[in-house]
Amino acid sequence: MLPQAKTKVGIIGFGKRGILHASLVNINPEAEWKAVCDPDEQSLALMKIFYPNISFFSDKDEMLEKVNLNTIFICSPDSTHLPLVTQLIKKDMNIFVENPLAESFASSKQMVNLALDRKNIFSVGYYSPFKVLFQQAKILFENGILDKVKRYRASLHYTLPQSSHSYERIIMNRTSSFLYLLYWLFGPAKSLYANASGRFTTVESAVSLVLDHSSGLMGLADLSWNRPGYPRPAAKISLEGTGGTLDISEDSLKLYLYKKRGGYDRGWTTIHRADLPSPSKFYLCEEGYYEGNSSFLKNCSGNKKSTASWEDGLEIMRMIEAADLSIDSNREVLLNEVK
Amino acid sequence: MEKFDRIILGSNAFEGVGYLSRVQTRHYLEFFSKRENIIPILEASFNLGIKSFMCSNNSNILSALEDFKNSSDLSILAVIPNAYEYARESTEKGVLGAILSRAKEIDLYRKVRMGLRALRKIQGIITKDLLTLLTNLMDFEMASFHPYNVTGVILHGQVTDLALSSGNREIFDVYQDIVRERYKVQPILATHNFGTLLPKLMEWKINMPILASFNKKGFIMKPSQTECEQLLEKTDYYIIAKKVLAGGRLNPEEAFPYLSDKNIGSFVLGVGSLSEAYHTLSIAKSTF
Repeated sequence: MLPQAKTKVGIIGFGKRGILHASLVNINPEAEWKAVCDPDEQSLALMKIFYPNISFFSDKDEMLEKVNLNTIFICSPDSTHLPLVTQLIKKDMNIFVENPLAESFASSKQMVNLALDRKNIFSVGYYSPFKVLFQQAKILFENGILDKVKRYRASLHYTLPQSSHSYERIIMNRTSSFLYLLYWLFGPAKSLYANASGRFTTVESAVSLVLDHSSGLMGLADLSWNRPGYPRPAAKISLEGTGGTLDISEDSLKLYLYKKRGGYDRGWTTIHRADLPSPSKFYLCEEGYYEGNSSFLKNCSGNKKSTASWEDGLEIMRMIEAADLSIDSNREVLLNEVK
Repeated sequence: MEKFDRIILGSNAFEGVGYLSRVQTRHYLEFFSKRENIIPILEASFNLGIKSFMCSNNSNILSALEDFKNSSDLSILAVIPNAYEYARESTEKGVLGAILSRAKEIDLYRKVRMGLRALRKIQGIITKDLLTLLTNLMDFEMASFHPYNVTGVILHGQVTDLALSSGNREIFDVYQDIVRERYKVQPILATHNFGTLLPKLMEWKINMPILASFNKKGFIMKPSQTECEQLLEKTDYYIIAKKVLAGGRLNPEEAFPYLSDKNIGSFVLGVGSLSEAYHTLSIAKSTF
């Protein structure tokens, strides 16, 4: 059997996520990072020192014309996603878009429509499904470890760096990642109510959400990006069920059971990140990135659907749009109102 | 190659880095923002005979070192760049992006104040741009350590691993040449990917001490605990173990027996309180 051709990758946008994906592609034996494009020529000149064998372009059209590529990672600002996808999709490319899917629900919807009936792989960069503690939490929840679960409380706290140049992107990025985690764990919401000191895209903001999931689960979420003491985003979800409670964070799971169940004793059980085997072969910045990146590349080789699809990304944008609408109108918004 | 002390005090907690919970991280950030909470731990460690300290140029740590009466007797292993600080400063461009922005900022300063005289020997054999860029960055990072007895310079794990993934051996060559020629000390590489880094360094015939995770739980031992253990057993590279308590999940009594017969030259131990310092470091002294 002939060896499978390597996936030929181009990166558009060479900021934090662009560098991350380039690095992860570079160590993946099934893929080959061939080129990068970013309008900041000064940064490119510096980066070229580190990657002398990669083709650098400040113009994407030139990159697409000169380099033979079949897969693109879009890591440029959210507002560029739709125009880029509109162009790339005609070139029969597999496309990975960093989260959120686009800058708005309308743009996201157009992207999903453009991808309809295409055989390529389209994925959005959400990494929660690749973190071992979240995977374990999902298994416990779906196996009914807490018996009947009626509600959860969730929080995302983060100290937004004062020197940041791009508040909007950070807020959208963090908020959408967290909403994706809730969506992935508990399924879609059918309605939500949101209240905020500002809007999603303003600087001084905290948002409270009440989420009514299609499954009947009710959630209360508190998102804040100006709380001191959280240099890394701190996500926490507390589930309450008739059989006990489960606290989920990126560092540990704390399970409390009223009686022995599912192989776990009555009382407290703490599962730390170090207690679970990590499937990751390479660690860069944070757990989940390598797995998310390599899972997409593997899917490109085998034409399998990605873990976080553009349809999922669209649902997250629907939640953000609904929250915005709810903040504006001060009422509960049905998700199917957002069309 | 220079050997280091068997036990080295780490500084993660002083920099607000913890792995058990975000509550713990928050406590570290608050508690160690006061240098008077760092100094007693430095004293306790020093009194227990631990005279090596691994740290970045974090302002709280530097401030504590200024007031610690035995700081001139400490052997400092300087971690560069101060990646956590960079990460906090710039989430948009990332650590490397922030470093590069800093490089641009300090370029003029370098032209006025710094030269490359000490590096003439190696300048001809490596890319000038890379040499200039890394020299700028390293001088900037190392300036804060000037008053202390620096015996090793550790390239931060995030940067090592980014360089590793670039597959560009020149970065490693330049790094070690600058540290050896300019600072006259031992270059060290920190990594989270020991099982990928060591074979690559062997292939490139680059020999530097490696600071990597080794613990009973296999926490951040990549690509796997077994592969890291097999490489460790056979290597003649000098290995410094970190995350020996698996990010705080193990106590010293559980953690140390696994490490005591391994081919490890030094152990980095971080502590988050005075009582933890006495407990962990005393057991370490008697075990290693």
